[in-house]
Amino acid sequence: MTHHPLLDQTAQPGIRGPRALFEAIAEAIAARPAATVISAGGRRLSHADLLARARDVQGCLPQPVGTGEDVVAICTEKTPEAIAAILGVLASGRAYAPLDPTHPGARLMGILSDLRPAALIVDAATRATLAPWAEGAGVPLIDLARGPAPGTTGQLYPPSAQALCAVLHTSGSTGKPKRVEICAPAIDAFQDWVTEAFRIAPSDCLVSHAPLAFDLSFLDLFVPLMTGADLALADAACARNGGALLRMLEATEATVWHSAPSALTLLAQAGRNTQLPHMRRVLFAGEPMPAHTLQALFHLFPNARFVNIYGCTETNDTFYYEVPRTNPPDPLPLGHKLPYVDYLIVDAADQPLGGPCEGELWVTCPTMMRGYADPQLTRKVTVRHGGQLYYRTGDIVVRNDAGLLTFIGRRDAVVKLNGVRVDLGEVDRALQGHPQVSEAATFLFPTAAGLVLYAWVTPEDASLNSLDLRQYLAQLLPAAALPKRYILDDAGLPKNSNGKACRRQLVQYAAQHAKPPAPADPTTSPRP
Amino acid sequence: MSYPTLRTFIADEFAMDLTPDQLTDDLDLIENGIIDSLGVLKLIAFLEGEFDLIITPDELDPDNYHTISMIEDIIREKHKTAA
Repeated sequence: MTHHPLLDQTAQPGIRGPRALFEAIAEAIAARPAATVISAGGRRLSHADLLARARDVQGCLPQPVGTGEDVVAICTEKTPEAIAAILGVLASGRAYAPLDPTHPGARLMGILSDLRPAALIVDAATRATLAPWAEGAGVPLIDLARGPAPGTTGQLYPPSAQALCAVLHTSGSTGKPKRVEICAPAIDAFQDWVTEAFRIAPSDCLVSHAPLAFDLSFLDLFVPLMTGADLALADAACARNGGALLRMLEATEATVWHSAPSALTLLAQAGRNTQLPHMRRVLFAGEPMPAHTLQALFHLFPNARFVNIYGCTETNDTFYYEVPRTNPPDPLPLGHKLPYVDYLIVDAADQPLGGPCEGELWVTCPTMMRGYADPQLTRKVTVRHGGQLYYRTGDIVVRNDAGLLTFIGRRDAVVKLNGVRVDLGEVDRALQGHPQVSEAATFLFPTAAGLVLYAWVTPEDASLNSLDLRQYLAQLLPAAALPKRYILDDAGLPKNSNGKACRRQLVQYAAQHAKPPAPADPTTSPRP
Repeated sequence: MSYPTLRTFIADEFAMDLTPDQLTDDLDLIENGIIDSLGVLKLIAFLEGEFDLIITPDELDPDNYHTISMIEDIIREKHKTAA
């Protein structure tokens, strides 16, 4: 491929901006208006109704100011109305910035202040938290639960001509989330590949598990809308409840599933004594799939083909692996590149390697982001080689004789927890901000159940316990980024020669720390 | 009736540095980041083994397991129904 979408998408043919993406979706809906979007509670809205609501939302949006790019933030529960609102934003020619309503309010407001959106869309779940921010910042608030604000004319202004289509946020080492900017051609190329590769058809019903703020949701939203498939939305409460997910699959006779493996673990547990014959494709991405979960899923979905997908927010999906039902390898490989992806594996000196090798993965593809909002950050992760602009994934991979890639680790402190990308530097900084913390560092500790996020903390005084720290962090970080175990130790952090906490050494210390018997405590019953 | 092994299990499994008595009856285990949705599965496996009861798929909602008193209510209710 010769596309160089990153930073320069002017040469792309086809769908160039959000308005064109909306028009393509509207055209697809005109052909199949009866397809539905299904709420977690089982309520159905036809695609045609979705389009009508999108026009209503478009009519609530303020007139574009100036010639710059506009973004509309949306922080709501995952409902059919939220999907309509996203379409309304696209119809206005603007980018949508989905925010996760389960994140702490302080974090959301920090993101919004930085983003300075043209409008903020909320619903009953988020209005109380975010309305004061909108008022203070002078940003028009659109409440999906209340209909158009007083004074809204419903006038449809000429759409903006910008290419920027979606803005996502992902964990950054400084504590400030990185703002990832994605243009319409990237989303269009991606939905095309998914539709073709997995033969998504109007007869399908796809289950969307990830929050709208995740890149996984591009597949979930745009593929069904463009193909006329039904779309079932697992909202936040349903998404963490294996029983509710199982009921949703039964009620909708869903045929395509897409999520991180941790969601499938919940489903496998709930469906121990069940079989769901309608499911034909199970797509998972974002972290390693435990082998025992995979076996349980083979039983739950007797007719499904399983696909391990690899990608990241910056590039979208770039590799995939069709999982064999007999003797699947463990860990599952990342597999083969998508047709429009080119990649390199480079050594520590950034020199490309050939044949079987181990090194950092660089990828280039038309689904790549335009860049981060901060160009300095973009320069750090992009590199030109042989006339192509590559994204440095930071992932260390191994390529075997057959050309299959397998993930083995990271170059930096970025980890995946329940499918959510977390920069451990961000968690460290949050912990260090607690007034009773002298030093803190986080690391992943291997257990039988997988990697667990640990925090090693040197307290300022002995009264500090993990309950204080847990309550403190819950106000700052997404749930996935919260450490599960705390080691509070006066001895201080083990450091390397540069005076930085050494995560690898912390893992060894933590293993030793776990060994000594707990001090005798008369109030403590023996371990069951 | 209270279930001391429940409290000990939660401390040992999810909050090693805390003593069981620091986990008060009404402490929200989920909001405070002690148990997450995968942690609820571990808790349920413990409840089924330790207290000889069955949690059905309809009862897997993490919202049922926010506090120790809620979990104790579930155990009591199950034992009453079984008796």
